[in-house]
Amino acid sequence: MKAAETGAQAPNSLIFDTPEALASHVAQLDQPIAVQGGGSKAGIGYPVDAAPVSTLGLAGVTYFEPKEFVLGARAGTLITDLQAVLDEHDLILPFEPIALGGEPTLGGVIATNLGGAERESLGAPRDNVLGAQYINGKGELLKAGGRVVKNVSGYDIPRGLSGSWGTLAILTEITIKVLPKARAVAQTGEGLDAVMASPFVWRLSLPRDRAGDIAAAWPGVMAQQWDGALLWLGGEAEALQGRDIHALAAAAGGHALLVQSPLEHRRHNPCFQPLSDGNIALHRLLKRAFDPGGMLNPGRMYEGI
Amino acid sequence: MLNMPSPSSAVLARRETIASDLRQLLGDDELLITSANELKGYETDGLACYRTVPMLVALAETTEQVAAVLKYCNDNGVPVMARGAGTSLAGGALPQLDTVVLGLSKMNEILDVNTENKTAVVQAGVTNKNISVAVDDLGLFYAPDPSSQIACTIGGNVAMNSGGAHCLKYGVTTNHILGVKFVTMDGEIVEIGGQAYDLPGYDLLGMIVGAEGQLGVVTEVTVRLMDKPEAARPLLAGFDSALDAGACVAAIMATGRTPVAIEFMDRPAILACERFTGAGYPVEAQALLIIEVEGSEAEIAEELAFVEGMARDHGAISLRVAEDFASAENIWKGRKSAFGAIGQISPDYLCMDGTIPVTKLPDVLEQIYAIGARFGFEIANIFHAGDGNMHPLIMYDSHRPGVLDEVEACGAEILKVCVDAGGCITGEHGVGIEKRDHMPLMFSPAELNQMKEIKRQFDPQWLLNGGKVFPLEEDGVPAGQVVPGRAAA
Ligand SMILES: Cc1cc2nc3c(=O)[nH]c(=O)nc-3n(C[C@H](O)[C@H](O)[C@H](O)COP(=O)(O)OP(=O)(O)OC[C@H]3O[C@@H](n4cnc5c(N)ncnc54)[C@H](O)[C@@H]3O)c2cc1C
Ligand SMILES: Cc1cc2nc3c(=O)[nH]c(=O)nc-3n(C[C@H](O)[C@H](O)[C@H](O)COP(=O)(O)OP(=O)(O)OC[C@H]3O[C@@H](n4cnc5c(N)ncnc54)[C@H](O)[C@@H]3O)c2cc1C
Repeated sequence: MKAAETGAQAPNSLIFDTPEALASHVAQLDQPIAVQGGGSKAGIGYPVDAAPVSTLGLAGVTYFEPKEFVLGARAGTLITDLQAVLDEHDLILPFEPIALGGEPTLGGVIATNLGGAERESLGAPRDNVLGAQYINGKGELLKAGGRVVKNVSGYDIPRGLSGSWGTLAILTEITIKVLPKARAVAQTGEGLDAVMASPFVWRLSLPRDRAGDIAAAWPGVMAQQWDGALLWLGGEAEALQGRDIHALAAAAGGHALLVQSPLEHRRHNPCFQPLSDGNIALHRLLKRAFDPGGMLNPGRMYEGI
Repeated sequence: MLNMPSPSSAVLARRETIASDLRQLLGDDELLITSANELKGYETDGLACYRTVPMLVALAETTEQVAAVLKYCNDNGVPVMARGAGTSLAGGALPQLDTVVLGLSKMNEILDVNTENKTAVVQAGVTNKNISVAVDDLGLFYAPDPSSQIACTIGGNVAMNSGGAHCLKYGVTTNHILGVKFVTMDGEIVEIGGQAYDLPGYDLLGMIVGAEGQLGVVTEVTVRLMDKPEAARPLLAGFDSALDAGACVAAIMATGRTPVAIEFMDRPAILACERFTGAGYPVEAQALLIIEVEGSEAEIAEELAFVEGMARDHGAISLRVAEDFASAENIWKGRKSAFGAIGQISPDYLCMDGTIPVTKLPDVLEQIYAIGARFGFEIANIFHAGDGNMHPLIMYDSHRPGVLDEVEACGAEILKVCVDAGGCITGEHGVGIEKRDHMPLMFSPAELNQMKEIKRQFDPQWLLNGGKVFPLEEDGVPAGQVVPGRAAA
């Protein structure tokens, strides 16, 4: 174990060279930890006041079968490194390169499961996950899924962990489906850079038939993707006055994520869409099943989760 | 012969009370089935070699009734299991003597179709095929197409994460579900997802789809609809050897030019299907591929030329493109009734479902034939070849005493070959009871325990669809409380 030297990491974050070493660290925890990939999305969610642990030491391709279009890599592998490996075989990732600052990792893309510009045709990151190795909150190093596309052997834990923002488990290795390059990939939504220049940025996934009204009524800067079903809303604090974007999204049958906001704001306001009591209860069941001691990123998404 | 948890004598002793309580909860006497004769209709599913008549069957018409029945069972320690159409090939819908079967076939309404969002909201008992039929004239369809689609329900598809021929291009059930109405064991009704893409918070849909009905019961499903292709055309390619056909599949897939579907049949399957449906399959061939391409006429012509070339390069002895819609339909009818056709030539069969990396197809096929020969069983192969999802059908006659044990041993060896080739024990049919005891081939005790921990959290008493997915002794069932399963009479 050593302290991280990489730029985006908190200076005191711990780095491990093997999944086994990270697992035994987690097994011995008596205090919660904050899980970090590339740190490019550190600004989403409630701040987690806990010792940071980095996945960046877990890097490299572990399995690559170009003829099967299957690739496995350690979770801390940088997306840019994967792209370079795939490029040599005229292959691409099934999610789009992220242009928005930082060096995201494969683990981070799956843990956040934010579908990119081509989500409609390629699916979200989770749709392309075949298998995973992970460490649960008890420090057990486990695997789930496999290396083939069709696989229903047991519960679908790789998908269950997608979008859990490091609050259920630490992904240590991920196997994904990759694509032939021939498949054209659209670029990020027009106007997104302007939106991201705002202090507050919301990402809203909406039923397409309701998104237009919300877009039309938004006073700030805006970008659209997914043929109108994904909205990026940017604004100043004043633009938000009296507007509860989560409620707005929910009323339209969708959901919103605050992807950019000042730290002070995030301390006291939710980034993730508030959920119904019944829904949150199911979240708690999963949290208890994977991380009964509440060691991993506690409270990043919701209270106690 | 698989073991099952022994029924609770305490529950069986309360049968009359439970029946009258459930009648009251359902509010309609017709909805509770108690007569031995009618209960027999629920004793088995597509894995017909196992049968057990359940204690009672409750037919739900509303989500509230589902919630009431689950809560009652939870409060009173009564085992319960949802049932759609009962087509599971893994024994997923096999009840036990002390089970209340919760039948969902009456919940068969399509509640909403939204052409702008391209979604449909349907009740759990709607059949897979009826979704596509209902939106056909809107130019839309529901993509995952299990061969059982005329009968199987969307609720069952969600539970099993079912696949089908066209999933090669479009993906399986889990890639097409946007939301569910989910009822927990304690009777809570929770809306998950809806008309928008992806979920806020955890991927609960990812967790529920494929959990084999063990975490809760789904009563409504929001599915994603796709635009129907302009046109689609299947090509039939006959080969002199199954291995050539397998190599052809691997070669096509390696180019990355994925057809919509690549289905494989070997000689026993071709003959049985041809006799059963007269679809025009090449009876002189040892193996047959149905390769479907779709798009505009120009795209179809280009893709057909490509796959024809690949087939020829791999020694195809016959090539036939469907000339018109009717002959295309006929080709698929042959494929989709393939299991029925095998049923005509063999009194019984056990359908395996392992998936392997496509590059290993020829090699694994050879091993499967060798295993069959060693056990003295004829094996027919009919499967979704493009994604390596194999369905060896082991043919047998259940009248011969002890034969089921031999068939299961033969199947176990086939699954081991699939796992050793880098694949898995089930690609789309699910674990159920059938592959329950093979789970340790893929997962360590700690890995199984993590799955079971999810189950325990959702259903601490382990009442919902127990005895499945996990090896019994690990399922919280003490060794002394296990009895042999009941085979077909
Ligand atoms: C504006 C914006 C646009 C985006 N566009 C796209 C896009 O077009 N395509 C696309 O694919 N993605 C897109 N994303 C997703 C984004 O790039 C991912 O969030 C990113 O990959 C995170 O990677 P990271 O390594 O920097 O994660 P971090 O910022 O380090 O961590 C993010 C979260 O994931 C957790 N985490 C990180 N690594 C692991 C791990 N190994 N195991 C468990 N938990 C882990 C962390 O605890 C944290 O909660 C976008 C995101 C934003 C905000
Ligand atoms: C001839 C034939 C061909 C087949 N072809 C294919 C194929 O190509 N691809 C494929 O994937 N499968 C195939 N199958 C298997 C089967 O059709 C699928 O598994 C199907 O999804 C089962 O649906 P069902 O409604 O019959 O469910 P059932 O058999 O009634 O139930 C299956 C399981 O799902 C659970 N369940 C059912 N409804 C619900 C609900 N609403 N909520 C929670 N749990 C529920 C049950 O408890 C049970 O464990 C085939 C079967 C046959 C007989």
